[in-house]
Amino acid sequence: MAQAVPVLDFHQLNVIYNEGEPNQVHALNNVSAKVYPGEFISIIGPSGCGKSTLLHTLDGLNRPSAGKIYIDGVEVNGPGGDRAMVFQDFALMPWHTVFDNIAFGLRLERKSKSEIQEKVMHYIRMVGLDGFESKYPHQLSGGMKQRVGIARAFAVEPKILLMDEPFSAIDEQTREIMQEEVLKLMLHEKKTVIFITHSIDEAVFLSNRIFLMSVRPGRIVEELTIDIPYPRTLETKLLPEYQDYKSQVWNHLKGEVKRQYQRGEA
Amino acid sequence: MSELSKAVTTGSTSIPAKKKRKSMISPAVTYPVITVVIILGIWEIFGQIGMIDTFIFNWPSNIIASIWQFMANGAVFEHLLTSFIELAIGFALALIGIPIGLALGYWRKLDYAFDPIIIALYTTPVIALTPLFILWFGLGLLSKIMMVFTMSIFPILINTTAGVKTTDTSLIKAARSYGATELQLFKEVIFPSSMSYIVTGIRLAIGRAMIAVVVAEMLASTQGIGYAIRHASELFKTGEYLGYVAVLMVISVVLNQLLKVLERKIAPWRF
Repeated sequence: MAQAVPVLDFHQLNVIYNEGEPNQVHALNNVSAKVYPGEFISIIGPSGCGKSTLLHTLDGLNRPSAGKIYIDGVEVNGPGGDRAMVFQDFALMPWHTVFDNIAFGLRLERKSKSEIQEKVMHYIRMVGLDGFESKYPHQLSGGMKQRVGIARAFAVEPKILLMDEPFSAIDEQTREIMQEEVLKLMLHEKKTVIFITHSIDEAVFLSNRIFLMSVRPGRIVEELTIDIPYPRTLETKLLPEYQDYKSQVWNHLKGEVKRQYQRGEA
Repeated sequence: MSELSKAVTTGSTSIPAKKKRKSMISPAVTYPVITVVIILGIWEIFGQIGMIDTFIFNWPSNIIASIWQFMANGAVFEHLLTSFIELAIGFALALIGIPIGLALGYWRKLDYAFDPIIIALYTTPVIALTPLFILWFGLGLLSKIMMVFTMSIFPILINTTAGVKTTDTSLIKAARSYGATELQLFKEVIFPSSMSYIVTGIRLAIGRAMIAVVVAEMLASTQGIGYAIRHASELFKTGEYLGYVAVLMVISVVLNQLLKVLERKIAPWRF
């Protein structure tokens, strides 16, 4: 899957909050990686390790204190249409219908009405929300809300999807179904995905590579390649190597959580 | 035999009819209506048996008769029109509080700078300035318009500011992530998110605006509902006096309820 030119390349990223003040927090410490087109990368680590900070920095919502981000070899500063984010708390506009929420990014880009109509309907069908386009977010279940969030991200047709614990607020059964769906979509639409998660199972199931992060200041301390071919289904979870990968990730996390605990932060 | 079958048929038709009526009107409507009717009834009885001196107070049937009278000769509508014009112009001017509130909510330093002044003006009973306003702006419409403006701008402004400040930060983040410019952020997120707060502000402001109009008209005017109230009271026409108060009460209740409906329509997720 790896090709010569990385779609996303971040180099020596450092994020320091409240720099120079007594409450200074070193959130990310020299984080570097290369991500190739079509990869599904999960980032996993103990809570407070800076996973979300890393994702927000890659999106352009945070400015790195030091370091550079390249997309297709071009340096980027700030948000752009080549990346789209799916949020943990959905972040849907409550005053907009499903249709208008999915159209959000396209409207900001001042796309024509007919183009918006066509794309939104395409992605509504893709996430299986046909018939719900005039409903409001407060009338939807958590799983359906996140489908809207995913469709909104797909609608701007980004190269890279950034997903910040997208399923953590969704019930277990729905989550498993949505994991499979996201995998299908990502293969079908040939997107590159960076996925933040707490769940070891989710990370192993979805990713071709997992970045393991350390406690603060966050660093990528290990990289694990999951050598299970796509497409993966729920049966994949029964493979013996699947369990091996899970215990590998767990052993690493255990060590990090213990270190955090000894420092009195957990 | 035939009588029995009759009883059965009438019985069977009357029971579902009763059930239907029960489900049509909810206790949320019947209970307050019953309370009000009982209170009015007792009040009326006290009046009828001569326990109320009409020199200082009056009872429902007399009040209703006065209302009927000033509605029939059209006097009330002239007064209402004058008051309405003052209220409408003053209130329209007070809507400037919306853009000011948006700015104060968005630029924190601006809010820091003006907050003490706004709080001071909002909490002091500005109504005490009415005589001063009459000196400055005369006995005509202008003094009332200015009074309405001063009384109603603050609830609008303060609620708008609160609406901006309570905008969900994750929505702002989402908008920025999808490339919103500062102007788009306002148009797409901050303004719609503040909309229901703005309507709440308008609802609170209307109550204050009505106080402003009535008090200013009572102090110095020859027209308007406040003048009518004062005039009737000076002539000890307590029935007419209370009739005008009742008209005011009905208008404010209706306005208030309409705006509450609007609030719910605008932001159904908040209620």
